[in-house]
Amino acid sequence: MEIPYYIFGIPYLLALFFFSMRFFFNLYHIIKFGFFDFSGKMNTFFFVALTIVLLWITILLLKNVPWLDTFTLDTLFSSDLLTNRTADFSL
Amino acid sequence: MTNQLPQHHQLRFPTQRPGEHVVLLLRRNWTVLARNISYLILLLIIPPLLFIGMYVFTEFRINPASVSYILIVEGVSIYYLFSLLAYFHSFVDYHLDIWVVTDQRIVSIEQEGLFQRVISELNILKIQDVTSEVKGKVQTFLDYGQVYIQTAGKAERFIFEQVSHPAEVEKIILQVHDRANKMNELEQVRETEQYRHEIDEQYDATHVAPGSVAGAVKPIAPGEEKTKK
Repeated sequence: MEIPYYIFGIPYLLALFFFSMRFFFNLYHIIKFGFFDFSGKMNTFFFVALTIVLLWITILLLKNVPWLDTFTLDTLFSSDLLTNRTADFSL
Repeated sequence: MTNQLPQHHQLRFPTQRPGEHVVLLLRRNWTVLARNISYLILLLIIPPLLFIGMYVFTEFRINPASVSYILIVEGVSIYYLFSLLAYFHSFVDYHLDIWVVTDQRIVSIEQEGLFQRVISELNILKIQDVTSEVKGKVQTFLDYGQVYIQTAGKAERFIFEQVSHPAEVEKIILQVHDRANKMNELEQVRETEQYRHEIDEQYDATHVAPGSVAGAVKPIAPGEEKTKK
């Protein structure tokens, strides 16, 4: 049975979706009710900046993965995932 | 602490009225935020420590060309994102809980979760009693605690929780209350005088003799004065 690599992206995107919901609710509240002094603005700025940096690093690390390619369960369990042995794709 | 009340003219807060001056804008002590920041730092350093430990003490190696690489990168990314989110959520909760003392009222704004916000107001003239409390070694050492305000309003007691310098906050609130009382009395006296003045004017206007100028003394002829004597 051939499994595409993008299957691993689905739970990540789902988690990202829930993160975004909470993120925007918090952002809405801090901007509407707490944006009248410097500490609110500063913390919001750092949080947004760190989130963007994290997502950018994740994209950087995952951009070379051939998401549309497939692998089989045999190769998944036969190859040693935790060593330097060659596996299904090369970066 | 001088007799002059601090005035934070630049500070504005939600629901502030025009012409209202902020005397105190209070939040919980910085130790609350420091605790959340320390939790965040602890959460952030766990993955690197784990990887370093595994690299040093085991034969664990991540093969960038393997499926586990994808899972590890995504897993760590989600972990960091949600750790940041947890901190930001606690910061929003901390930041949106404020107590404001102005020259007209005391406002308590408490954010309880994301979808519940409670705003209470108290006219400064309705304060009956103010008490400050510092409990425990940490609070004593860092000088923060609670301030309880007994009121004559619907909400019987306002509580400022974990605020810095509670004794000084108590003093300032009482000063603001005294000043507001004096201003109120002066305003009442002024209104009374103005009302009295208006009444006098009305009386003068309605009781003037016909043909004469209101307020003028009628001149007496020289002979008339002698005759009267």
